Amino acid sequence: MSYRVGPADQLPEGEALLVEAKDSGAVEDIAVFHAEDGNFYALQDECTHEVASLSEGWIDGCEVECPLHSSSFDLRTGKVLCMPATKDARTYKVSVVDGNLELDI
Amino acid sequence: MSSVHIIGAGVAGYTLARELVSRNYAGSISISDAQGLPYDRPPLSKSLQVEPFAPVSWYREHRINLVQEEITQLPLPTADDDWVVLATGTIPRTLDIPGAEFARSLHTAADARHLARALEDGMFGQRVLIIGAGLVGAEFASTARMLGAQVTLVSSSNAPLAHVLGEDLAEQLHAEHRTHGITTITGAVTELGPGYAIVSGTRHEADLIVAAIGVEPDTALAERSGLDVENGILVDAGQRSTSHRQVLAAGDAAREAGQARAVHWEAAMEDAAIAASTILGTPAPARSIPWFWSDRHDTHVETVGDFSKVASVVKRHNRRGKIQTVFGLDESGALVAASMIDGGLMSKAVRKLMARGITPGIEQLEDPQIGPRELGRPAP
Ligand SMILES: Cc1cc2nc3c(=O)[nH]c(=O)nc-3n(C[C@H](O)[C@H](O)[C@H](O)COP(=O)(O)OP(=O)(O)OC[C@H]3O[C@@H](n4cnc5c(N)ncnc54)[C@H](O)[C@@H]3O)c2cc1C
Ligand code: FES
Repeated sequence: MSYRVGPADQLPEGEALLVEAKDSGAVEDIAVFHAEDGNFYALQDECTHEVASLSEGWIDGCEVECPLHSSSFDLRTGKVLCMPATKDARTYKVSVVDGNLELDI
Repeated sequence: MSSVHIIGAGVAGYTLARELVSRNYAGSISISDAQGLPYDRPPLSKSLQVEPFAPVSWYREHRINLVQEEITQLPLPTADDDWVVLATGTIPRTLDIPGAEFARSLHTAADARHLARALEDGMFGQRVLIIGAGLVGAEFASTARMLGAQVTLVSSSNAPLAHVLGEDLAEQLHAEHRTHGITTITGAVTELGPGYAIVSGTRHEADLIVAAIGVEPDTALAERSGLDVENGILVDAGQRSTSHRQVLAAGDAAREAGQARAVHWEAAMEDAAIAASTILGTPAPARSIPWFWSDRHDTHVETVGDFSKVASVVKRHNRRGKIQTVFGLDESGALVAASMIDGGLMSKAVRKLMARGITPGIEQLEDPQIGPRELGRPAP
């Protein structure tokens, strides 16, 4: 199933947006990122450590740093790069179709 | 075969093992700690929960020999590729007053379990008296209150933590204990007994007394073994003991010669990453600007940098007129520290600015309309 997030050009590089489960019908909230390599990526929004929204994190290159305790995740793979989180984040596929961001859920 | 023997399984000891595993260290790794399955300390005061870093299976999978023991004699390395790493952390300071034994500390999993049980036992709210309103005291006060206790928090100043948060935010945060129903007393505890404390001459009844008056580096084993110790086990920039090339020390127990001792969670992790590089003979990762956090009464508090260098401050207020961020500038006007509540990205922004040596203008710093990412950028 795919969900249309909105126009890709409205998400500037280095920023992220939250796609809530209640809107998309996905099993969880998802964060969509416009990484500094120019590509779009999506991860589960909730940090794997405690309760924090990765869509509010700091994007640096192809990583996002959790706003709460600064664990970083690789946007491409969801891999956790440093503690305190130790579990990887789930990734979702996001693509640009006719200028729109589409999320596979 | 080469080996690494880690003594102490706090965040420093555990991170070192994790780093060695992830960097494919080929030798054998063992970790000794009397406390059993390694766990993280920050949750202890925030929730009284004991959260292991990893399940037992992780250690098995990576053939890490986890031994539940206290090391009393330092096993000095014998071969060139054997390493011993002291990651013995800290021990809580004890009160030096009559009846000091009636106060419990909050430093270990056993302490947290004991306090959790004691708080659960009280049907109508236990009377809890906490001595010390620093990071651990303030967090435990908030946790105990959340669990329904009647909490009295005693400190020697009305701005505890001023040295790490700056005076203004320290005072504001301390005052917030009262809005959460905690009784705060500025005074001195002179005597404890079964079920009571004497604070500045007045007797206070308490079912539970907790002392949170700071920690000291645990250097007992290092001292006994003749290593250089001076407010911490002295090490060089590669975490090597200044008295033995193959003995390393990391975390809260260690101090780099000529530097102040870092006593926070992230610094302990960085020590461990540097120790791993020394063992593997690879270049050490760079240190980052110091950072720590604390959580109480639903407020996320963070400090970046070093408040001891601060000569003047710039405050940023939120819509309700509360201080949200305090930026600290040194003598020359350069940004050297910041403390904040619920800062979100602000701490990361400040760290990045400091790493690049950028100090945004005072108007920018003060203006809550200017987001963390915009700081230091020229106005559009
Ligand atoms: C309640 C609490 C809350 C905290 N909250 C925060 C926070 O919110 N943010 C933050 O930045 N920092 C926080 N800290 C500080 C942070 O947890 C410490 O900086 C960190 O734990 C230091 O790690 P360490 O590995 O150096 O030492 P420790 O965690 O102290 O671990 C040392 C270990 O060594 C073992 N040991 C000692 N001697 C021996 C021996 N002879 N043989 C075998 N084992 C031995 C001990 O049993 C212990 O397990 C908190 C600390 C406490 C106590
Ligand atoms: S909640 Fe993300 S690192 Fe703690």
